[in-house]
Amino acid sequence: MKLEVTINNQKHTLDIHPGDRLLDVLRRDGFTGVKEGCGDGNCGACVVLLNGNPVNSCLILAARVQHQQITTIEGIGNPQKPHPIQIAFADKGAVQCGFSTPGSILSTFSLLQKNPKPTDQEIRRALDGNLCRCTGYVKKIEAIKSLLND
Amino acid sequence: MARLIANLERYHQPVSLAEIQSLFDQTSNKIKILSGGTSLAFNRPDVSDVIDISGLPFKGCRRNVTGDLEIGALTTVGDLEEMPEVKQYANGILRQTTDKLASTPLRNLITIGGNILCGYYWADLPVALISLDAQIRLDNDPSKTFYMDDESRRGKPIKIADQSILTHIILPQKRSEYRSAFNKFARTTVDFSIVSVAISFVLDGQVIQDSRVVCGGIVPFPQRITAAEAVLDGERPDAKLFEKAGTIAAESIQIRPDSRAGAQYRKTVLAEMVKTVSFSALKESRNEA
Ligand SMILES: Cc1cc2nc3c(=O)[nH]c(=O)nc-3n(C[C@H](O)[C@H](O)[C@H](O)COP(=O)(O)OP(=O)(O)OC[C@H]3O[C@@H](n4cnc5c(N)ncnc54)[C@H](O)[C@@H]3O)c2cc1C
Ligand code: FES
Repeated sequence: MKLEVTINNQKHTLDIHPGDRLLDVLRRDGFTGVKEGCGDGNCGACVVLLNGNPVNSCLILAARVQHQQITTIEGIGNPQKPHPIQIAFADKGAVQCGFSTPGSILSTFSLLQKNPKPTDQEIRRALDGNLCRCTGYVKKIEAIKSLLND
Repeated sequence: MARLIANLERYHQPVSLAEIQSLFDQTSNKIKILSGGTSLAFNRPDVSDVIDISGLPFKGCRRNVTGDLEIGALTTVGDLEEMPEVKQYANGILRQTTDKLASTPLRNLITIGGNILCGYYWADLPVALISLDAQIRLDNDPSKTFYMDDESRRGKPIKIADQSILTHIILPQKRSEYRSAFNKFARTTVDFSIVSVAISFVLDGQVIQDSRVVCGGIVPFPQRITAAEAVLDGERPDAKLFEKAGTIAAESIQIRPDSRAGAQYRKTVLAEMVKTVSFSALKESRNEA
């Protein structure tokens, strides 16, 4: 079937199987910043924004996002032009292996879009679906708070 | 590359109940209805057709003429917790529940209807909803409105007819001012419950009346513990009474073990939680949650 979807503000028409996961369809189309960790909704490595809200792309049938808006980490920033959230994560040492980082950055991006001055508790809650097995969580929270002071 | 549904041939996105009905009428294929779709993490159905009902208009909430709160079953948990009416209803017990339900990206997918009908023993919203005497409505038809709690199937998952759609959850006006609280004991903030408890009651003068004590995580589906309710009703609230309700609750329920915790451990936790959640319900000042 044909999937028409807007990815990072650009319209795409993709050939998909109705049973495909959104995660795989995005990676196949070159958006490899979307990662697969657990594959069952637990880790958040696959998080993308669906109409601005973080969701687990490993649990979504790609067919569901017909005519909708997806944002992946590629739509947030790149090595030549990183987003301030990406700079803050790097500066504060909130990144080690990097595997969970795209999901965490997208969750942060969505949080700050809706709530530019989140409390510590709101930050923790917004990132509760993004597991990280190397740096832990304190550095991420420090990175996000550094953005609030600017 | 894993497919979520290996043999899926067609994906339908109807926007009305009439459209769904005609899909059912036209096909003899194996069909799965999905709303949030997160149950695919646990169960990959072998079907040729999916009917994605997330585009139906049954979202948001409104007060009906009798003052009851009607919530659209397609409302995601993420949207539910932002609704001012929901934050205020019965000490904000639903907000207390969604606060402990899964994670942010999952809450943006999981729907209130899906959380009820998935039938999982760890489902959190049914615990709170049963404590509020919630009703469910099928097919947007007032004549198909049923109480979630029914003595004949207490403790068993709620089943609806194959081609029915759960469209509304109705919270009675009567309980909106009741003292109510929910809590969940789990290994991490986003893990399934080891034990969850919801309690709701009114203080009539100095005594408790009309109490509901509901547990989840320890029985096949969230259920009322009527023996504990009988302990509370007609009594003045104090530590001794709440302790007794906890002890009786733990004695009267057949608790199932799972990989997270054994039955004896859960029993001990249940007794303690009935006590502490009763205290929370008593202390919460109304409409300030
Ligand atoms: C990793 C993970 C952790 C989770 N943690 C928790 C937790 O801590 N607490 C908790 O309560 N839940 C938790 N959940 C969610 C829970 O396990 C279910 O997956 C979820 O409640 C299903 O809701 P849904 O809207 O996604 O329903 P779906 O997956 O779309 O559907 C579930 C079932 O209900 C039927 N259905 C759904 N909506 C309707 C309707 N309106 N009318 C008719 N039939 C319908 C479907 O046919 C299907 O059989 C978790 C899920 C995951 C993946
Ligand atoms: S890969 Fe989707 S949540 Fe882990």
